[in-house]
Amino acid sequence: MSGDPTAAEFETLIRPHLDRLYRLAYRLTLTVADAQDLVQDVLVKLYPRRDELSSIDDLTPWLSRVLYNQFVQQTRRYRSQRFRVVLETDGDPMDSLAGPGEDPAEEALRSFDISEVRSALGRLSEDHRTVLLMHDAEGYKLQEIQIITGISVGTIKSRLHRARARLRELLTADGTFSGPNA
Amino acid sequence: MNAEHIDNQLDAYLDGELPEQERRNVFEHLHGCRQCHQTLADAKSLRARLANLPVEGPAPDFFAQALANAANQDRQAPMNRWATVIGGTIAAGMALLVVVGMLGRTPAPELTPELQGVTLALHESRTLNLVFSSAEALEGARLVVELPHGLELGAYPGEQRVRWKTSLQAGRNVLPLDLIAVAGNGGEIVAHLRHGDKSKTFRLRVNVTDATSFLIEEKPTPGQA
Repeated sequence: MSGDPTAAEFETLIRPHLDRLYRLAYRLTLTVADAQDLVQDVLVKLYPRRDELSSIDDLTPWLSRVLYNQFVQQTRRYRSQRFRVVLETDGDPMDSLAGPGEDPAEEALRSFDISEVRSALGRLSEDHRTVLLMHDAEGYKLQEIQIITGISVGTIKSRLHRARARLRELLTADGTFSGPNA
Repeated sequence: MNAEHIDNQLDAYLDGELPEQERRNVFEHLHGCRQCHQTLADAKSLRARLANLPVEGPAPDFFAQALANAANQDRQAPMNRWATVIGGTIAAGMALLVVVGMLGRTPAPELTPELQGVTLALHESRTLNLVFSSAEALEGARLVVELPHGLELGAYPGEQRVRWKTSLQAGRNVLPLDLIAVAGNGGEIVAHLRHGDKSKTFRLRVNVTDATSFLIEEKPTPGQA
């Protein structure tokens, strides 16, 4: 822990929640890099609010809500930013980014089923994917999701229902799910 | 109840959201309806697959580093906010083009290309064009720009870490950054470019001088990262 008492106080408050925050960030962003970035951004925002943090009885839903709001805010920013292309490629010997580099251990963990489910999840709308992963993958209750996202329970239920139906449809279409309509 | 299938109630049934009487009705229906029973089994299977989706953990020292970064950025924040007001009043300077690197086919173990130096006058606002060259279009590329103490982006005052998600097209992609030197002696601008599981980091050294005139130093562009 840091020798700086202020930083130590912040760490004492936040540390117990970091694993859960990271898991939520990963579910929202789907990648380690983005999840780490999201958690980092949240910690930077929270650090000046140490007094407020220490006065909150149940930090878990509060922190989750801050992280979710940060995610939504950044997603909006992402959508509004575009690179400007100034020159077309002119035959310079430029390489592509594609290539090896995956961690072999990580690759070994990726079973066919997991990759197919992830692929299908990636094709859901962000609204549907978010509530589906929070509820069915992370086990958040409907009321907890309501607190974190500010979305009504009725809307969450509706999104969950449609998200599951769409996911079944996608997995059935690619042959990895043998539903009644397969 | 057997005459009609109950697909639309199965989610609520599995979530434990049904009132007792309705739950009992669904339970009885499931015993007499093979199709709904199969639908329920599929729904359970789907939930199990989602519940078993692994979460890839962060880097081993990520939490400690992230906490330290939060504390460090907070120490710098008050001066940045103050200086932004001053920096914002300075007219924009000429554009400066800096090619920070190319995307290589193989992940280079040395992710930092040769540093290029840029010198700005204190409170000077200039456009710095970061240029990323790519041989092919890249959908969903992510860029994180980390700024040293004393440097800010005009559009994001007070933020030392700004992220974008965008698509790169084949050729040269330019990201104009309105850079303001608001305090300090400069430092390194670090840009992390990521696509899928690949990433590259580029560093650009910026010196800030307490003078009204400034000197631009441009070293030859590195051929490849």
